[in-house]
Amino acid sequence: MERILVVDDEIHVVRLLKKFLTSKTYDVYTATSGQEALQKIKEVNPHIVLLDILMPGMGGLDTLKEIKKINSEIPVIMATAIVDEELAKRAMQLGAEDYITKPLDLNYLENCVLVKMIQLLD
Amino acid sequence: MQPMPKYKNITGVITWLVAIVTAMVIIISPLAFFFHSYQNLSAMMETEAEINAERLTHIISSNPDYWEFEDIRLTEYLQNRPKSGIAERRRIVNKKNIIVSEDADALHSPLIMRSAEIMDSGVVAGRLEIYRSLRPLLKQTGLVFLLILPLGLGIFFILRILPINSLMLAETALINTNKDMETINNLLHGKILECRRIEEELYKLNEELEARVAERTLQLSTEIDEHKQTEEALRNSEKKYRLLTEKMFDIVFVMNLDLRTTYVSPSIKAQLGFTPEERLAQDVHEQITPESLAVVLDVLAKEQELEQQGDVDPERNIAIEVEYYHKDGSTRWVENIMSWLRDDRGVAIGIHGVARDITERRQAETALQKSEKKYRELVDFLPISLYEMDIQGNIISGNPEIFRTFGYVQDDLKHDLNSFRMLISAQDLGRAIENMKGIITGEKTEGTEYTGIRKDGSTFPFLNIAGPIMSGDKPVGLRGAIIDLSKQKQAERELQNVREMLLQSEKLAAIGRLSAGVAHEILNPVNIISMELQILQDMESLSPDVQEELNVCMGQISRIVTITENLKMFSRVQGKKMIVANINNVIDYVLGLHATQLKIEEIKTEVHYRPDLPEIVMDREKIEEVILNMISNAMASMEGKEKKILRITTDKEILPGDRDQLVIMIADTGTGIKSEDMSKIFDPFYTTKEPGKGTGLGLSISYGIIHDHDGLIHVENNEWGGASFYIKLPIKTDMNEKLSQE
Repeated sequence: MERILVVDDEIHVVRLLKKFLTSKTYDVYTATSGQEALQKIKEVNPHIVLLDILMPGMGGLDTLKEIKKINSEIPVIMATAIVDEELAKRAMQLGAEDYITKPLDLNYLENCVLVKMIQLLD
Repeated sequence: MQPMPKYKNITGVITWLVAIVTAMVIIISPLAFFFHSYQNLSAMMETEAEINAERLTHIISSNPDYWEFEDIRLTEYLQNRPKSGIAERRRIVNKKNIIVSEDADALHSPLIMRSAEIMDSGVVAGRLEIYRSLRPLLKQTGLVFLLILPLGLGIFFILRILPINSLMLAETALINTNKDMETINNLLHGKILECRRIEEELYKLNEELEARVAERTLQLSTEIDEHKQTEEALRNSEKKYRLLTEKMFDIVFVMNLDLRTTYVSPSIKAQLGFTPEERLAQDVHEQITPESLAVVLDVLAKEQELEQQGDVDPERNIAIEVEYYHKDGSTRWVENIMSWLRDDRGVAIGIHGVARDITERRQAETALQKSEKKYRELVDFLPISLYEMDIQGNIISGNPEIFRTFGYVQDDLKHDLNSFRMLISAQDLGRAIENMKGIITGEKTEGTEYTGIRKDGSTFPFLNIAGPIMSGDKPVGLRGAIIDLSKQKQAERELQNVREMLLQSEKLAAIGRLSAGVAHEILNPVNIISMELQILQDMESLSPDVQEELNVCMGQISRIVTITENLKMFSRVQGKKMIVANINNVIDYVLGLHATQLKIEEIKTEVHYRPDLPEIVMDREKIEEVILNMISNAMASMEGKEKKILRITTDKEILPGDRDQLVIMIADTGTGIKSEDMSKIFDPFYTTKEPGKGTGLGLSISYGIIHDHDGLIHVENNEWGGASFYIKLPIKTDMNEKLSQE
């Protein structure tokens, strides 16, 4: 089973994504802060990380840098509010694989994840 | 002198001469013709008669006795004549004048007859007579006369008119010359008269002069006697005075009537530098300046006149201020107190007086005058209106500025401009009068604002600062200054406008900051709801009804997202992508995007691009958004209208100081903007569209974008019933030139 780590400070977002991705047969792990995310990565070594940019405490961009330090190979998809596309572009410069905008289009998200997985398998 | 009769005479003579010539031509020609033709005819007839007579002679000789009875043969013969077509009568007459034979055509009188004798062996046997009518000849003559008549008349006119014309020309020239001559003559005559008059006058004057000279000579001889006497008296008086005056500081002097100094006290040395001896040798011209001398002479002349009237105090003093020369070349002002010096009979024989140096006083006076003049000039020069009026409010005086301010000239003071009431608007008048009363009673004021009325009726605001004019303890009037506030008020208004614009920008910026935060906060819950809905939608057990409702929910979610996106634009965190572009291309591109929609909504477009517009630095995407906004608004406002025309023009406005700008007009034929909406139209969330049709952010975003480009956007209602939006963008062509707000 492909492991996905979902990181978002909104508990409902985390819950819904887990529900959705589980239904699409992924193995979903969750974290609600940057610190927790880093810990989870070390624990489960996910195939893909879905990371929210705006989080209290350690923000998405900082978390991204730290993830890249732990394992630069893990693809990180950034989730950002539609009004913050500029931030997402900066994240891309910092090594993020891709970005999706909130409100999330779940179908798009699924396609996005699927494509990354296929690339990983190659 | 009168040329007319001569002229008429000549005309008459010419007329007569020409008439005679003409008559001769007219009469002589037909006559000549007649005589010539008559001669011809008669000769011809004679010849014919002779020839025929010869022939007849032959016939007769063959039958000498009975030829007279052979009338048939003879008639035949007579008939047998050349066919000339001319009517003739021929008859043969015997010796006894009896017609033997006759052949006759009808003939009209008058007749001409020619005959030849018929001989029989040398003896006259009879006569052959040939008659013809003269009428054809007369007719021809008549014809010739008729032909010659116009020729004759022509000759008459030419011969008559040509000389008369030249005569008239000569006449006119002559008349003109004559007139000139006459004028000159008159002038000369006048001069001669004048000369004679002058001569007479001269003669008279000469006589008078001689009389006067004689009179004067007599007078002089008496005067010389008198003079000797007065000099004698004067010398006596002098002796008395000398003792008195030697020790005085003031100059004491005595002069005779010729203004020759006959005595002067030694104090002159201290005051004017001259010794008394020097003084006595001086003429009056060497003592005082020409200006002063004129004054002195004038005063003395008047005094002498009074003297002659007699009705005055003989001991009276005359005070004159005189400018004397000092020995060092400078001048001194001296006050002279003089009185007449009289002989025993009381007749004035000279002047004596006391003189005191008043140069210092005079200098102080001059200085005062100068200072007053300077002050006056200063007042005239001041750009502040100054005035004085009496206690009734009548204007007494004012400096040029106050007249300029109120549009009057100084002279108006003498005519219609009298009261201050004319210069203050009616509604301010009561207040002004109250304030005046206060000022006169000593109230202090900081100045009061009034509305002034100019001569032409226009009004303007001014500030009046006034104080009382006191005469002793009593106020006698008001004196004040007026400052025209129109420029200041204008500046205040402009400032107010700038403030309002600034407020609008600040308002938008504040809303921008607020909305950026709000956008984030809203997006989070929306995100969750959106995901919930998507998960719900994925459920297979849902009925189509529920599916439909969920779709509606998803639709509303996208609406919220659009609103938050628009809100976000206020914060304008996005970077600018400045490029150089032509505004015409930008508009063309946006119009292209809307082409189909415009067609569907049956909107006609009238686009006028100014072709030579420079490319300017802009955030092309943002400007496209503004144009798009404008077009969308225009389209929405024309919905349901019968006439739908979208007009777009681009132009360049030339402004001084390198501030040229592009002007884009986007006009519709929609409903226009109500005046109460005008001020709010660029406010965020302000919309006239139905709920759900617009966010009310389009125009405020456009406002922000144009503002970021240092441009201006404003709206007016137009002649077609709709609204016209004007966008003005500064012409900046240098990419490195920074826009104001980064």
